[in-house]
Amino acid sequence: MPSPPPGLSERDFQAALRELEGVVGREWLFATDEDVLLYRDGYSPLWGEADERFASAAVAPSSVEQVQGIVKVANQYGLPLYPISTGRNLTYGGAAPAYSGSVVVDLKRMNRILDVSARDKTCLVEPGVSYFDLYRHLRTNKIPLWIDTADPGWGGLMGNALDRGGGYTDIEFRDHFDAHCGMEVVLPTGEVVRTGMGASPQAKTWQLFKYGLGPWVDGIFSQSNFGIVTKMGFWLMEEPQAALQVSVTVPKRRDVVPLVDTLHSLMCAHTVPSQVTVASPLMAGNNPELVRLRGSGGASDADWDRFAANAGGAPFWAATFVYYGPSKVIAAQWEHTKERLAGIAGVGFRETASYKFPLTDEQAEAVADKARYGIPSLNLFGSRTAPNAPPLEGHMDFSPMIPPHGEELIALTDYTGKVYADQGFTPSFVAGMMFHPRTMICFHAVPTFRNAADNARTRKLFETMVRGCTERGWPIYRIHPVFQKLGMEMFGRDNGSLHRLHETLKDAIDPNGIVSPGRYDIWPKRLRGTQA
Amino acid sequence: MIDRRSFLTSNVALAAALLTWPQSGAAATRTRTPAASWPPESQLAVVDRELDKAGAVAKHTRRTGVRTLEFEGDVAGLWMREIEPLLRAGPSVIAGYTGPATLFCLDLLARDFGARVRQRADARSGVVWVLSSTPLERAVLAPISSTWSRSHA
Repeated sequence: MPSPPPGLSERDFQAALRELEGVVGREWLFATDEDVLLYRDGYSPLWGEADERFASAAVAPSSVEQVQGIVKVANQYGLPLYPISTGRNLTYGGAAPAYSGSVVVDLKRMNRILDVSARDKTCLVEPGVSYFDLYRHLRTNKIPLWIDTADPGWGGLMGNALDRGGGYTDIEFRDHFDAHCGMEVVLPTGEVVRTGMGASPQAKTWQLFKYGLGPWVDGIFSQSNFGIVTKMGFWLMEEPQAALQVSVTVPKRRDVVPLVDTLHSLMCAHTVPSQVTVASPLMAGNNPELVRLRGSGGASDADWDRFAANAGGAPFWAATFVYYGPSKVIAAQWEHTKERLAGIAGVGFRETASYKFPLTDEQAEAVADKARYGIPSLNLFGSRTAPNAPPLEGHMDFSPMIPPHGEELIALTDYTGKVYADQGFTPSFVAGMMFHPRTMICFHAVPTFRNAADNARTRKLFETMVRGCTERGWPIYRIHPVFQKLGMEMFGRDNGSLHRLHETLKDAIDPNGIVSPGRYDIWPKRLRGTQA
Repeated sequence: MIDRRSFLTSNVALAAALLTWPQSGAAATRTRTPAASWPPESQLAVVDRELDKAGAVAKHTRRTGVRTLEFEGDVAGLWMREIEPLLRAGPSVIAGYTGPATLFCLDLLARDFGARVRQRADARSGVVWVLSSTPLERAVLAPISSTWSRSHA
């Protein structure tokens, strides 16, 4: 049997479990070793080590009232809870709790799509609704709206949005937290709060206007532990008439500066609507010369351009993005984009896919880059493993954020290339991704293993990059629970005033400290100072 | 009601349907494997067309009477349209010839329906497996129907 949470006696833990059973029913309490292992982080950088995070049990409510009941039991016993939506973001900790011994509140049974309005282009969902669920609902009911999905698409809308994840379609929808409108929260005290216009009982605009009246509190429920969100509204994209996917390539390393500047300008003008990925096809893989150059941390543009020339003249950078809308408008946008970029010597333009909507199921199946068209996919898993290699080992995402400037992309990947090499790892791929309107994220895959020795190296790699990138002005925007204390230390300006504000809010909202202790390094008073 | 004996029998039958497809080095059989004792609508075989001899595997499982669906690389569409509804509807058994990444995904997804991988064998270019749920397992996470969905459409 799993051990009780720290500080709770076995007797009290068993009593709490019996009461939780009373709330949700016996079949929805999971307290055997086998059950609890289902919530293990399969990609944990602490796999098999003493500090690996484990749940002590899990409970799956089906209603807000049951969530309130769970919270009541937790307050009575001081039982730490860890709510999850679908718990499938494996690169940021999955379903495993931030605080070992917590009871996972598995919200997957709360999986109703409560409302979809084709007219207003909105939806209201529960935490267990996955991208798969909503996509299927829209297709089955022939509702001409798109989801904006994370990639892979097996996760939950709410879980992803509350951790501030992103997607690939139009700018209004791909910052998933920004695309939400209104939420309902069970506070740690058990009270239910609806935010925005939802706090006005007869308001017809809960999913239409974000702010309501007075302070806008939604933000404090993202990347935090101030409550259990039980409903969220989202704005949805109207299905366009057509789409055109394009690739723009440039030959030299430094060409990325005008490339990104121009694309960003076009994005801000809404001429380029989709997420833009600027990647270097040349800087992927483990070619020895590539590894040497990346590992040097400061190879010159001339060195790199020579490498590119020896690689058969492949472009140094390729930007991928999509236009959506009527065909005539798309054509004009693409022409204008080409005019704006024409000044880069050797720039290449390629149309890689075009579609007219709606797609049949067969056509949707055949789309190569599904996430850019609101189609959830599992392709990413196949792309990261060699044929016949089981994806048993995993990775974490290291996600520093930089200004949308090509020279910052170069500087960051020079730095991280050297860190990977110094730690004995093949450097990660190089890409800057414009999910948000004014930044690029430079995701790095940091491998995780099933042995302590390699994971120790991986943790050192990760920690080195968190600190080093922060020193250079590129802090992370999201981080694995194992590193959340370190991550928040990077936001310690003014002697940690932000952290103290978080603690003040925590003490007020969750006086017994029951919801996700330690998430984003926000500890309840009773556990403050007890964690290394 | 599916009892333990028929559950085990159908697993073996379905696995045999997949594992006896023609491949070099393996004993080939052309005999029709008896259909599993479960209702046909609760059985499914999925085959990734991108793998070696996928066509032959699919042909073979169809001959044994198992409904067989093919996909290319990305199983998400098949999951949404066929596999998840099958698991949600009740006890079911699914066999597959896919890449390991696909099995990894389906294994995790299917756990929400009390389903688990029961058998697995590594083939030269993929993995052969059987995944199933029974009434003995945890109740499925079936959604409660919404009455709101069409109110604004």
